[in-house]
Amino acid sequence: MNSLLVDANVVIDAHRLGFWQQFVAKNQIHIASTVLKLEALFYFDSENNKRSINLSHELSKHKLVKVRATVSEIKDLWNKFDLAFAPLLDLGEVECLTILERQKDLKFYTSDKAAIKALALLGLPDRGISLQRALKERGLQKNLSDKYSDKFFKRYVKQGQQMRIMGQGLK
Amino acid sequence: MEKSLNALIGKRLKEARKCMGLTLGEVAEKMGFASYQTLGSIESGKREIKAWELAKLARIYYRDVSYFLSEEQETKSFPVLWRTKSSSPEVKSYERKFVRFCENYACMEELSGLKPPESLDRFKYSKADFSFSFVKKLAGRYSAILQLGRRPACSLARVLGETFAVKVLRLQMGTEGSGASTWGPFGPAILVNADEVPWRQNFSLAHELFHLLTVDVFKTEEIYRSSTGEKSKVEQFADSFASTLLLPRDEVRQEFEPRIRKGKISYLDCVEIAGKFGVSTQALLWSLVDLKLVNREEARRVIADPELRSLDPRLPFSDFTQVSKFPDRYVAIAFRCMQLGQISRGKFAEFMEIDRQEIPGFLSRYGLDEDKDYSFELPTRRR
Repeated sequence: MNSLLVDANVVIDAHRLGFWQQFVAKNQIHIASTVLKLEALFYFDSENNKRSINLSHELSKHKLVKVRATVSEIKDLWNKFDLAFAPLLDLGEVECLTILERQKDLKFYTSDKAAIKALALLGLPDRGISLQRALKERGLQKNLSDKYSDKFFKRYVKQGQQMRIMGQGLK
Repeated sequence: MEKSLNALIGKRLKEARKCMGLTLGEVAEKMGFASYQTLGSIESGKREIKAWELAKLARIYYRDVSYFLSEEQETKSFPVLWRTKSSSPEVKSYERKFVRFCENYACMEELSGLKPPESLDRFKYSKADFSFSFVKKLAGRYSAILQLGRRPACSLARVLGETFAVKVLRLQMGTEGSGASTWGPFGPAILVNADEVPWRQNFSLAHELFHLLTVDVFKTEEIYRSSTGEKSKVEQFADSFASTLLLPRDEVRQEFEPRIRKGKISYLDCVEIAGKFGVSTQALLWSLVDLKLVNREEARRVIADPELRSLDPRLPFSDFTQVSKFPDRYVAIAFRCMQLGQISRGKFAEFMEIDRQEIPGFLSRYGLDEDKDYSFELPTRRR
């Protein structure tokens, strides 16, 4: 089983596209406290109706793992970035990256360009995974748009790696 | 380390709360804390704050999270110029939202490398130079510099933002004033009350422009209304500047004169002309007095007539359409930054004050689609 750390976009998109249950059943999903408490609270279905996301059942059944970083750890990670050049992330994404640095068994699944770039910038490109690959590895096939593809993921990893080589984005 | 960080965050949180004019109880309620004591112990550094609590408080206080984690002192403060002195929590909150918007805007201009080509020049004149005729001359000169065209109100906000780096935010502020302005580390910026009728917003924009240009000439206290509610001299100058800027003399004359029948003009025509220039009928009438096309006493009589004045907002002659809270340029730069992976979706949502789930709907109003690939680059003939 893949141990995946997911960002808010993933939780929302997986609900919107209707594969959240399958995703949870086939992976060990970890969610950061900020994502859980503030960011992944609802989604809009195909008819644009607002639907709430309730993960309490999955948490109580230990199908989901809630993880958190301390503010001190977050600050340490933040201090690695040169904020004039690094991609700007919100606290949920920074918490995810902080947890990822600490828990070496986790892989980060995100489709956010800035978050993928930051992952590569920190020298952790192999710790990220695209949705296309994550689903394929679990035998799930979905017709997905470009932003979930491996090609898309690699494109932004490359940009982050280039920034790292050029000495941009980190202090 | 942990203790000193808790103390630092607590201190910053307290500062931010006071800046918004909020009590411990009010913030604790927004946070969903059972009692205000939880927040109190965070502020005093006794309790470690959780990441999600910090993120939520940053939203409540309109601050970037880095503000709470940085040991560096905030840069020198700068005044936000309001027309009336007020320390109400509402005004403090609008002021904070305004400054936050300006900081975000400047941050994205920096990231994208898209800075406007020109900047406003603050007036270097002395206070003694100022008279109504001098202010009108300045407005005329500025009209030429800004190249606002025949209907200045239609292009003022766009020209100020796109060419002269003025950051304009339209915020619903109820009855808390028509507008404000400031000149911070992010450059010049104007706040306009979006709850007011369109022509009033145009006038406020031009009025606040005067305050930006004269920021080194007049002191803040000189702007405020007197205790009896009378406008200060500086405010009267600002009104005169706005009126001259929005109502170019030759253009007004051209619109006005063909409508005169037997020495009179219908009030309906006045309302229509005012609508064309995007100003109130009252502002037009004073301009007509100034052009010596109408007697001062007649203008006064008309303006004082409540029945005539009530016609103003009912007649939709203006081309003015409802403008959005944020300038188009702000949204365009943020979108560009998101598309290039310079800011995350979460950050984009924060900058637009929406939830990330609302991004597709928000963008569609601007004809944009985040799933489209905009990375194509066109080769040019210049290096």
